[in-house]
Amino acid sequence: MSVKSADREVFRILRRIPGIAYALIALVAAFAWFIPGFFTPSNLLSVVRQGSVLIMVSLGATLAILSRGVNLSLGGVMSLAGVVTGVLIHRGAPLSLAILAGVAVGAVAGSLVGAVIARADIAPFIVTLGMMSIGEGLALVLSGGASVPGFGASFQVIGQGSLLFAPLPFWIALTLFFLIHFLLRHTQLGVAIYAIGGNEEAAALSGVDVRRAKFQIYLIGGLLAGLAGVVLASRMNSAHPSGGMGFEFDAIAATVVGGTPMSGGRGGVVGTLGGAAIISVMRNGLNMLGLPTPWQMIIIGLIIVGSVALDTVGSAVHGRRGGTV
Amino acid sequence: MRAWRRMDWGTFSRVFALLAMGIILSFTAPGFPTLTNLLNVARQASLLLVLSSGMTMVILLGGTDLSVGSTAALSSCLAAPFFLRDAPTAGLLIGSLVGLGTGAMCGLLNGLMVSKIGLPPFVATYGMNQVARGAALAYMAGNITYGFKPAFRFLATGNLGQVPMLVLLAALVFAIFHFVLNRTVFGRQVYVVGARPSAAAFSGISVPGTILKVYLVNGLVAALAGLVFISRLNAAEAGLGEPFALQAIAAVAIGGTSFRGGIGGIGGTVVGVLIMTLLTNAMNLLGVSTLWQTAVTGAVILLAVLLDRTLTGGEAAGGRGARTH
Repeated sequence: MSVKSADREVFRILRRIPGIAYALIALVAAFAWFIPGFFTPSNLLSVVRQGSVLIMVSLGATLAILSRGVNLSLGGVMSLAGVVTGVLIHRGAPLSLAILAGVAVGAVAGSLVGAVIARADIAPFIVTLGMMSIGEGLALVLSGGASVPGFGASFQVIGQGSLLFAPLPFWIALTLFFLIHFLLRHTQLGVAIYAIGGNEEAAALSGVDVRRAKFQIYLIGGLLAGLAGVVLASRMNSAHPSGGMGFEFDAIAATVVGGTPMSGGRGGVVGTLGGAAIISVMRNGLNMLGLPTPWQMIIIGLIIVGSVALDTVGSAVHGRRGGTV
Repeated sequence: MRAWRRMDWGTFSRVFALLAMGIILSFTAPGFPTLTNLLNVARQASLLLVLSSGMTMVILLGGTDLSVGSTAALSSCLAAPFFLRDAPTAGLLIGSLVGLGTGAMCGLLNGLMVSKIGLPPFVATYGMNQVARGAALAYMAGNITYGFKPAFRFLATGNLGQVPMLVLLAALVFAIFHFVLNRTVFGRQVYVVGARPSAAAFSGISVPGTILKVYLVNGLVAALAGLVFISRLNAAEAGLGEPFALQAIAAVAIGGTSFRGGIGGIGGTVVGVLIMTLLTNAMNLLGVSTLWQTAVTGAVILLAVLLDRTLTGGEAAGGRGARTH
């Protein structure tokens, strides 16, 4: 990469960030003004810690949405990965093996979904919905329907530790972010993902291996969900069979808020980073306000619908409609 | 005509699977071929058939409805106090109106989000799912409404001659949907809009109007299912109906209705409902933990769409095309 193109890259990133960064700053400022205890180092660090898991999942959601697909299995796979790791630790498996197994479960689930979507050409919505249910269900079976608590200090470091003043999960999420960003910008798979999202038939005709790309999209999604599940279990020091429930929709919201439309082909993970930050700040703020859980559910539901609605109306204005019937 | 011949393979395999399950169960599960158990199966199938009839229409339209469980919960919780009243007829009437009215409102909002804003149905109905569940939780505040008047309990526990009311009710709902989908102009419009929204618009069909009506009707169906559910249980609580959407979607998937819209029908859904119910019944009789049910539902969804795809050469499970949701 030449200096000039690196400059251009930086410029492109800078130009993309503003809209969402302003929104984020405005939100943080509003919460800091109205909610006592929000704008303290310890609370902000805990937002970052919680948001890191969402960032990991959202990266997977963005890959699927960029290719005009969707991945509803991320939350269920997260739950399953966390429970697998938790149960293995309880059975006395070495830590590294337990973590590896959790991530591997994600990879297996992802490759299964990817294979069905790519080979049989079935709508991602129904395939990933099925896998969501399988993941959640197997997590229930393995955990016996209750959370698997208490793992010991050495495992908790992953989710609760810090490095250079920032939570360890943040560094993990940031590394993954740069990897996926690089993948989208500088690899064949990245080119293929945007091409498929723009126009699948044209992509296939111009020599893109659509099946292979689709398989990889969902495989990587599964890997990310597996990692996120392990980190979540470590942070909570317990693996709950429905711990990942709802993350897939938060991740969709983060993606869309971050400027990647449901119709695919445009956008990227830089915006998703901001989207995930906004969703995390919002959840934390609502919590700090002491709003009862039902009301939080209602507001987050409205935010998810509202963010996608804004995007849809926006793209309709620009001549490209987001949703189908 | 070719479509018919293809459909026949799918129908044949579904009916064959159902019969095979029945025969195997008669020999392996001791309690299966008793009148009590079969009536129980029929009752369980009834609730799912009501839900799946509405879901079939939504999926034929190319949509989906993830909100039916919460809609059922909210409408039945709001209606429940009226079924405790001492004036049974007035209570029954007002309660039903409140319940069905709430369901219709939820459905109408879903329809508006999908047709007017153009939201992807799974996002719109997920938002509704959160909002309705949150509202039900906030309204009930952890309480349970129980001990309904006999007039209301008759709906789900009574018999008309030898036949359970519940089965009659489900048969009636099915007959109405069968008639509407196969014998009316509106039914044709649902198929056309589902298969090709743009062609439907060009041929003078009001696409937004059709979408609006379908989601409205499905809200009504969800409310009806909720009322039936609390009548059977003799209690209403905010958490009821959590698995409704997934089970109905699974039944429709097994029934061979395509998730890309316009292909399939309600006849297959009946078989799908029976297969799902027999599966649950078999697991109960064979002593499989109920924890397995979520995972099995997911696996059944995946297998059903895959099998349909192989048997029918593709169209039923979704042909090539850019539609992902």
